[in-house]
This record gives sequence, C-alpha cells and structure tokens, in this order.
Amino acid sequence: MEIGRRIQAGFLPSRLPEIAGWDIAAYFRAARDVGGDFYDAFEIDGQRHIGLIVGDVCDKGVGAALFMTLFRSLLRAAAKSQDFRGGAGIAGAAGDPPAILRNSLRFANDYIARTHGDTSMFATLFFGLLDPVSGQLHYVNAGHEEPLLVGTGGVKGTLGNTGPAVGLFEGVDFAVADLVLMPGDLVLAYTDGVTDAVDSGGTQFTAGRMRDFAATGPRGATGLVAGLADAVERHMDGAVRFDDVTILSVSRSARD
Amino acid sequence: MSKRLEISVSRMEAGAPVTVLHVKGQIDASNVADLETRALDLVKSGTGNMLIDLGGVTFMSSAGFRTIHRVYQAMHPAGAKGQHLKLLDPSDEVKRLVKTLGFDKFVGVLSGDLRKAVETF
Repeated sequence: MEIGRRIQAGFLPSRLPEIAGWDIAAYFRAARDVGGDFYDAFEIDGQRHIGLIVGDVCDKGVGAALFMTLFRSLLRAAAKSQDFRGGAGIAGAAGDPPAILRNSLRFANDYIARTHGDTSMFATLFFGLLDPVSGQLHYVNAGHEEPLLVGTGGVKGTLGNTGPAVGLFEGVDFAVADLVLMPGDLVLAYTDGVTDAVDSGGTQFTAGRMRDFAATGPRGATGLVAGLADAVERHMDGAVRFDDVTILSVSRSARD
Repeated sequence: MSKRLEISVSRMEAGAPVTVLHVKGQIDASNVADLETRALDLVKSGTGNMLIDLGGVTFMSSAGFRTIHRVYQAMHPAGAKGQHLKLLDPSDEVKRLVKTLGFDKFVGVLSGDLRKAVETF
C-alpha cells in the first residue's frame, strides 16, 4: 500500500498556479487502502487558461493508483500539448477552451477504453478551463460529483453532469458547459471521500453538511479548503479512512 | 466485509430466450466476483440476452459497475450485434449512478414486472 500511496502522491502537482486576482487551493489525504483520487491545476499557453481537474478512479489499491497516473497524464498531456515544442497540439486549436476540453476527454477516454478496456477501469472527473481575464470557466463533468458554485450570498448552483464516466466506452462524446465567475464567486470541486467520510459511529459527513459549510464557511478558496478539510478530518477522527479525501477550489477576489 | 451474494439463475422466453440472474445482497469489491463469474460463465456458454434482477440489491459500489461493464464487453466482442444486457429494478441510487456514469446508453434499465421485462428483449 505504501507503494501505491507514493505513486499517487508523485502524480499530484507540486505547486498550484498563482494568478493575480485569483485564489486556487487544494487538499488531498489518501485512504487506508489507497484510492484512485487525484487533482491537478496547470497553466496552458502562459496563463491564458488554467486547467483544473478533480478525478476519482474506481477501485482501490495499487491498481487504482496506477490508473490514476494514467488518467492524469493523458489529460494533462493532451490539454497542454500545444505548449510542447510549439506544436499545434493534439487537443485542438490554441485558445479554444471547448475544443481543448472535448478533445482531451475524447483522447483519454478512447485511449483507456481501447488499450485497457478489458480491465473495465474508469474515472469520474471534473475538468475546468478558466480564463483568468474574463472569469469564464468552461468545464466537463464526466459522471462526477457536482461541484458547487458559491457566491458572496451563499451557494448559487452546481456544475452538473455533461458526459459519461471516462474510459468505458470508446467513441462517446463529452459536452462542454460554461459559466462566468463574478468577483467573490468560488467553485468547490471534491470527491465522494468528503461527503461519504464516516466517523467511528458510522455517520457520514454528508453533502448537506458540505453545502452548509460552503455557504457559511470562510470566503476564498484557501480559507474554505482549509476549513472544510479540517471539518472532515475532525469528523473522521480515529475512524478508518475508507476513501481518499480530495478538495479543489478556485475563487475570484471580491474586489476587482 | 459484506456477505456472499445470493444468486439464482432462471431462463424465460417471450419471443427471445432470456437468462435472468436474480441477485440479493450488497454488491461490493469483496463479493462482486460471485456475480461476475456466474454471468461470464453464462455468456461463455452462449447467453445472448441477459437480465440482471437487482430488486434484492440494497447497495452497489463501483465494483458492481465494473462487473456490469465486463459482462457487457463479453457479450459484445468486436462487431457483435443483437445481444442485450438489461437491469431490472435497481435502487434509486443505483438508477441515478447508471445515468450519471453513462451506462444507460449501453445497458437497458427496467422496472416492475419480470414477465414484462423479459418481453422487451
């Protein structure tokens, strides 16, 4: 299990992008048996776009950790391919977020389904591309828990499903949705390790409690992620960690 | 750890022959092999239409979805057509996940009367 844990940790980003006017924060803690969670945040074409991913590979153990590295690498490589050696990129035209998202998802999905289809491994994931100048966030939600959109007045909505889980069926398509993050807005993405976290008595943290925390907790990504992680950890105090806990958030400063 | 699954198999016909797997219990990584072995053996011996009755299943983890995918793949080798895999009476949570994960585009979901479900093949 220690090997799986090290593999998984080695494929999480060592630093998060720093962009004026924006706050990006993440939290990750592995399960006892190692799950297949991951998050990623990276720049594309300088800081023209920021890629934000939260994923959950099914199953547990070293196998899940290995597939986590594969999903993470395929998505990151496809989305950032235009940055390598000045190429046109395999994910589509530079500066076209819907094309980058759609093609990166297709690429990872079809590769896994065709090459590793016999394993039936799949991942649910949220993949967003943020334009830090306009605040526009394009995203794909591939069978994943719906991230929350939180404004200064509380939870404004969720970023719903736009496509199936990744890696199962070759040739499926992923729709791209978008929204604009206004000053003070925040997106909170997570895996079910947060909502399903159980205490020693078997009580779950629940989506409702997470939502309440997002609505009333600290403002800004760094504060909210730290506060939510602390609340989940306190809830689980002493209990067995059945699943990885992963949180990723991005917020736009209130003054703009 | 969950208990072993209770699985029984019956064959019904209403136009096309259908193999029905009745499953009872909580499906997770510790016992999903029971279901997978049984279903894949049936596919190997020529089952072309399969209905998995999940009416007695109170919980199904992602391991259950992997098995359904495996059975679907086994029933659909490259170019194969005419085989059908359907689920009967999944719980509301499993029904929601079937849709969210995109399984509904490949696997039929039915509810209610077993005889009527068999007639849909």
